[in-house]
Parts: sequence; C-alpha cells; structure tokens
Amino acid sequence: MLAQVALNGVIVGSIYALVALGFVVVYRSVAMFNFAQTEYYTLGGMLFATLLVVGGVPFLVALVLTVAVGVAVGVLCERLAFRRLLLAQAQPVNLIIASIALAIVLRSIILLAWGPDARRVPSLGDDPIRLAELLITPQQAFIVAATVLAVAAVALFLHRTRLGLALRATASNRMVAGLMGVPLTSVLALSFGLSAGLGALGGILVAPILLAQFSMGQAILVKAFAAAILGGLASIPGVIVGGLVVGLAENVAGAYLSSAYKDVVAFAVLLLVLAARPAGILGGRVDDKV
Amino acid sequence: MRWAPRLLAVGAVAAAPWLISALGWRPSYLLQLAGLLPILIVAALSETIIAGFGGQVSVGQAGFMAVGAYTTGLLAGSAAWPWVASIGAGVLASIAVAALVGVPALRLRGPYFVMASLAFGGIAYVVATNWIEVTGGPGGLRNLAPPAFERVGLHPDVGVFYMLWIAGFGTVGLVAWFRDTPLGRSLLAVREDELAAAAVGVHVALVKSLSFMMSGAIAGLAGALLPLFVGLVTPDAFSINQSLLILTQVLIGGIDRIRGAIVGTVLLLVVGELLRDFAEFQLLIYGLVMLGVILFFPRGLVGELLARRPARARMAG
Amino acid sequence: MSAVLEVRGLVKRFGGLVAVDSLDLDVAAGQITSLIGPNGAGKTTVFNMLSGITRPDAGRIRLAGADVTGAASWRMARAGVCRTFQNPRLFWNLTVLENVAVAIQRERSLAGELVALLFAERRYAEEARELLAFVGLADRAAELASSLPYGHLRRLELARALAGTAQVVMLDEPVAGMNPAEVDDLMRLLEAIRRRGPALFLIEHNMRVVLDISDRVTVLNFGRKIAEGTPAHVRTHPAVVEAYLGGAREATP
Repeated sequence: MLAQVALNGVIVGSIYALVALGFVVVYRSVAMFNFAQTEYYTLGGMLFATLLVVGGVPFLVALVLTVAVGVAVGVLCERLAFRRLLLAQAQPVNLIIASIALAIVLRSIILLAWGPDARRVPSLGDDPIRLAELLITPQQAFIVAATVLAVAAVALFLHRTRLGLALRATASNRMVAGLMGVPLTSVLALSFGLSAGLGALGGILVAPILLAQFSMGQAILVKAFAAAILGGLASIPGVIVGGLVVGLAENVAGAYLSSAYKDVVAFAVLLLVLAARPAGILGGRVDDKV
Repeated sequence: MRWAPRLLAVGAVAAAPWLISALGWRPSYLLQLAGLLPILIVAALSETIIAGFGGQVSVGQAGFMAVGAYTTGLLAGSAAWPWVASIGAGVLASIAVAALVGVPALRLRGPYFVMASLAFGGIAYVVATNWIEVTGGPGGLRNLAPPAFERVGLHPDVGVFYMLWIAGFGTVGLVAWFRDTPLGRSLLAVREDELAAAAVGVHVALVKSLSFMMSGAIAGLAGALLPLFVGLVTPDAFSINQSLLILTQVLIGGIDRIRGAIVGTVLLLVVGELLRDFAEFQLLIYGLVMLGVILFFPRGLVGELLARRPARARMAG
Repeated sequence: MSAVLEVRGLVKRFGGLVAVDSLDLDVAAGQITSLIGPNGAGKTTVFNMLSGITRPDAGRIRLAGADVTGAASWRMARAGVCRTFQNPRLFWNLTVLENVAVAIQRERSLAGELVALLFAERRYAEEARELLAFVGLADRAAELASSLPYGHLRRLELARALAGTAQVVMLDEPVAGMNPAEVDDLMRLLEAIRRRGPALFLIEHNMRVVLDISDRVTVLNFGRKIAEGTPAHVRTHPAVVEAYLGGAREATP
C-alpha cells in the first residue's frame, strides 16, 4: 500500500541523507567531492557488525566506538591522500582521481579484512509497531531518530560554532580559517573526519536492515550523490529533502516496477537532476573572473 | 626515425604466433594473453580521449563496451552476420548511445561528469544482467563461432589474433591522427581553459560531443572485439571494476598520452597475470598504485619521462 | 571611416549594482580606440559583454551592421570580435603554434565545420606560422606556452586574437607588467595591426600608451561615459580630471 511504501522510502531516504550530508560537509569546506565517502559507510556497517556479533559489545558502545573509528579513518585518509593535493591547490581532476583511488583502496582493505560474505546484524527490534495505518519497527524508528539528531547536531555545529564557521568559510577562501585562528590543516582534518563519521553512522543504522557487506558502499554511492546534489549542496534541509526524494522514488518504483531495476531508478534520478542543472555548479558561471 | 619502433612493433606482432609456438611454453595461454592486449589498449584509448585529451574523467567506459559487445554478439550470433559487419554495427551502436548520453553530459564538469558516467555504467550493467530476453542475463550470449579462416589457411585462433591486432593498431593510428587535427587540438584547448577556448571561437559544445562520441565509439569497439575473442558475452566483463581498471591503466602510463595508454595497459596486464593467484590483492594494488601515481607522478610514467626532455614540435614546427 | 562595432544603450546590473549604465560607443576599423577610467568603472564588464561572456541586460551591439547582442562567446569570436584577458589565459600545455592554430575558427556551416575540424590541419598550421612571424614569435613555435617569458605571453595572446577573421581586436591592459622597452615594442605592434585593417579596442591604465597611439579615447566612470574624443581633448576634460583625482581631493580636510 502506498503509504507503507512511502514510509519505507522515508526510512531509507534518511540513510541517504546522512551519507549525503557527509558529501556536503566536505564540499562546503574544500569544494571537492570525496568518492570514498561511501566506503566509510561500509566500514561503519562492517565494524559495527563485528563488534556486536563477535565482540559482544553493547549496542550503544559499539555505535560510539564505530563512529569514532570512522572519524579517525577519515582524518587519516585526509592526511595521507588529500592534504598534499589540497594544500598544493591541485587540479580538480587530480583530486577526483585521488578520491576514486582511495575508495578502491578502502574497499579492498575492507574486503581483505572481512571477506566477501554478507553479515547479519542484530537490530533493535523487528516487530512492527502499529502507528495509525502504518507499520514501523523499532529499528526503523531508531534510524529516523538518529538521523534527525545527527543532522541537527551537525547543523548546530556548522552554524553556531566558530569551528563550524571556519569550516564553511574555507571553501571560498583558504586564508579565512587561518585568520580566524584555526589552522587550515585542522579545518581539513575536521571536515573529512566529520563526514567520515556521518558515513559510518549511516552504515551502522542500515546494517541491521540491509546486511553488512563489503560492497554496500559502492551500491549507494550514486544514490547518496544524487541526494546531495538534489538538495543543492548549499543547505542542510536541502540534503534531507534530497535523501527523502531519492529514497521515495526508489521505493515507489521498486514496488510498482521490478525490484531488479530499483537501482536504475536512482541512477536515472541522478542523470535527470544533472541534466536539469544549468551548467553545473562550479564551472561556467558568468561571473567567472576574467 | 619514428617509423622504426612502429615497424618493429608491427613485425613483432605479425610474427608473434610463430614465436609463441616456437617458445613451446603454454602457447595457447600466451596467445590468449597477446590477443587480450589490443582489446585492453583500445579500451584504454577511449579513456585517453575523454579524460586525457578532454580532461573529463569517466568511470563508465565499460558501459560503452557493453553496448558494443552485446550488439556484436547478437548480430554475429543469432542473426549470423559476418563478424566485421557485426563489429561495425557494434561501434555504430556505441556512437548512437554516446550521442544520446553525451549531449546532456556536455555541460557537466568534474565530479558531476564522473558521477554521470558512473550512473551510465551502472545502468548498462543492470540492464545487461536483467534484460534476459535480449542479453541472456547473467549467462549472457554463448557459442559464438569465430570466422572461418580456411581460405587463408590460418588456424582460427591465429586469425582472430590478427583481426584483434589490426583493430588495435588501427585505433592507435586513429587516435594519434585525431590528436593532431583541429578537432583534437580544440579539445585540448577546452581542457586547458574552456572559457578562453570559447573566446577564441571554439564551438565548445560541438567539440565536446564529437570527442565524447569518439571515445564511446572506441570503447564500443573494444567491447565489440570481446565476443570475437572469447566467443561469448557476459555481464561481469562490464562491471564498475572494468571501468576503474581502464582508468588505472591510462593513469599509470600518462593520462593524456597514447604511449601512456599502451604502457599502462601492458604493465597492468602483466601485473594482473602475475597476481592471478592473489586476486584479492589485485584491487588493493591497483588502488594503491593509482593513489601513488596521482600523488607523486601525476603525469604518469610516460608523461614524467617525456617531461624531462625538451618539448618536441607536434605541428611540424 | 564607418564604425565596425556599434554599441547603443548598453546596460549591465549585478544584483543592485549598475556596472554599466546606458553606454553608447563606436569602434572604427583601422583605428585604435581606448577605454579608460578608474578601477571599477566597468571597463572589463563592457569587454565581457562585447565578447559574449556576459549577457547585457539592455542595449544593442552591432557588428558591421549585424545585431550580435547577447551572442555566445564563440559566435562573437567567429564573427570577428576577439579579445585578450587581463591575466593571460593561454593554453599552457599546448605549444605556441597550437595556441594560435586553435584560434583559427571561421566556419559558418556545420558541414564546413566538420570538414575543417578533421582536415584543415595543414592550412591552419601555415596561417598560424604567419601570425607568429607577424608578432615576432616564429622561433618559439614549438615551445610550450607555459615556458614563455611574461612579455612573450602577451604577444602570443595578441597573435591568438588576430587569428581567424578578426574585425575587432579587444585588448585588456595589453602592456600591464611590461618594462618601457617592451611597451614600445608592443605599441609598434599595435600600429602594425592598425595598418592591417582591424579595429583595435583597448582597455589601458598606462596613460603614455593611451595618449600616444589612440585615435579615440572613451572615458568611463561608475559605468557611465563621462568623456569621449581625441586624446588631447580627453586629457584636459574637467570630468576626466575629476574622476581620476576626485577621491584624493575629498581626502584632504
């Protein structure tokens, strides 16, 4: 029934919004897209699965620990893969290739560490609760709640703290961060760490529903990206809307068309959005400095 | 002076089947490997055009390969067309798809273009895997017989080998010629500075779409040669990993150099075969190599070597 | 002495700011016209509109009688309006010869374009070589643009602007950053170009150059034309003096 399909769309859309927010945080601070973003999502899911199942670690502890590891890996990646290029103001092409390469490296490390099999992750509860006409499980409710909390926290950070301001300002002017007393390298580390943490959180939230597997990041890369640019890359509410739209479109199509082509829907959404955007965002602006 | 190495290469390839059988060590394996090389080089050259000359990284070349492969496989198989015509049709189909997809893609820059190419490759893969009536699904198209070479007195494997290499040399020549035409040069100018290119009169949209179609055509050719080479077409040859491999190949050698594409392809083929038993590590090594190259040798092996020599005239200066 | 380029009522606004306000301008063939004014007067914006990089909000631009208002950058270039940039925007990884050859774009039909794109190599190379000889860069043809010294960069840009069917060559601060000897060289080059026929339109801050070689000078301030005429006329025009010195006078108590 349509409302139920829509609800499922909202839930999966929240995950997309979370991962997409990671894209946007990095984009807002260094004007680049990190293609490795969804690998933090995979890492989150896999690590969380291991901690819960193998380590017997309590749920919340595992969550916090996994996010922390995600952040640390994000910072490490920035240090190893991106810092050199970012500080040298490398050509955008090189940054793109570096992040693609990083994604490959992360994915293969995850594959080597965890193997190709999917893992089951215990959820917070799979017995649906009735809310009006709709059925929602505790895990699904948790996903929505956690997403709202995380997004709100990031929004507060970006708009109400000095560090957050430095992060936002750096995209247009690298000097600003330094002038505000925050070293540029700290801003870089912070933005990559934060976005990795968001990605990891997404993986943690989705793992009990979708299984954790080394390829899960690759599977949502295009969708998270679509959500990010649908939302306009400029605002956090936009990212949420973007995520929800992608999630809804995908689920509605999946319910009424064949589920095998569900992925194609997300791809098609992306292509449509890209086709509709005038001249991209970064280039081709009329007030380009001449 | 520049003809000597080329003649040597052609001669080596022409003599290869006999050299291999004379060597006596795993001849069919070596011949297979030597036959795969031109296909991979052709695929790599498609990326050289779009990413190297055009400055637009694509991770969707495998999608065009799929278009070429399935078109050729269907025509040569169930429609029993002659192989050369089937391959030609595969290339034309790829051009058509490139024209269709390329027009909206023209306006995209940088990461947007990458994502669009990713989406395109993804759609192609999903369609190849699921459109069972046409593509045969995961099983693919099978039992495609190679052309008959009795009249020429060649073993089918050797005959196919030569066909593949003719296509390979032809593509190298085509791309080299393209590089020095006004179209190729305009493409480079657009890559360098799109605004300035328009300001000097370059019809940016036309240049981009023509180049995009050329890149798609060449990737389609690589795909179209696959059924000829292995006698079947399966979707797993067109996954994202294939596109990433193509990108790695040209990056290692030098993304905007034809020799770079060749060198990078040969290197990765050799490394891939050496690492055959360590398949899980292959991907990691490709990623690390790509990362290392972009951080420390962004011009690729060939690019770095050439950069240390004084610039040579391209336009017979 | 008819105007090759006619501008009437040109307007450009950026948000609430009027950058160019109802500008009328004529640029004549075989003449050197200079556009001067304090920083921020709107000169580069005018250039951008004339070269198709920025769309005018109002007004008309006519080239040899034909209306080209709002035409895209590449169309303007092919119609014959070529320009250089304040900071040279060359194709750094192409050779000097290739830089000029790319700028040879004159086809009007799609069919002609396709043929030229694929087969006009030799013809373009010869033309490019000729242009390089004209600006004195023939011996550097095979070098990469990125290896040229600064003074040569401007000359290369100039050669590029002359390629194709240049009817109006617009130069944005062509002598900026040059020493006096280089400035003299360039001025002689500009005079040689004038003899070849195209209209030359300059933005320049170097007054010696402006007064020495211009046939006509137009002065802009806050997007408005405040004076126009021969160099001598403009030099002593009260509004011009005010525009350039006015700020300093206000500063003194």
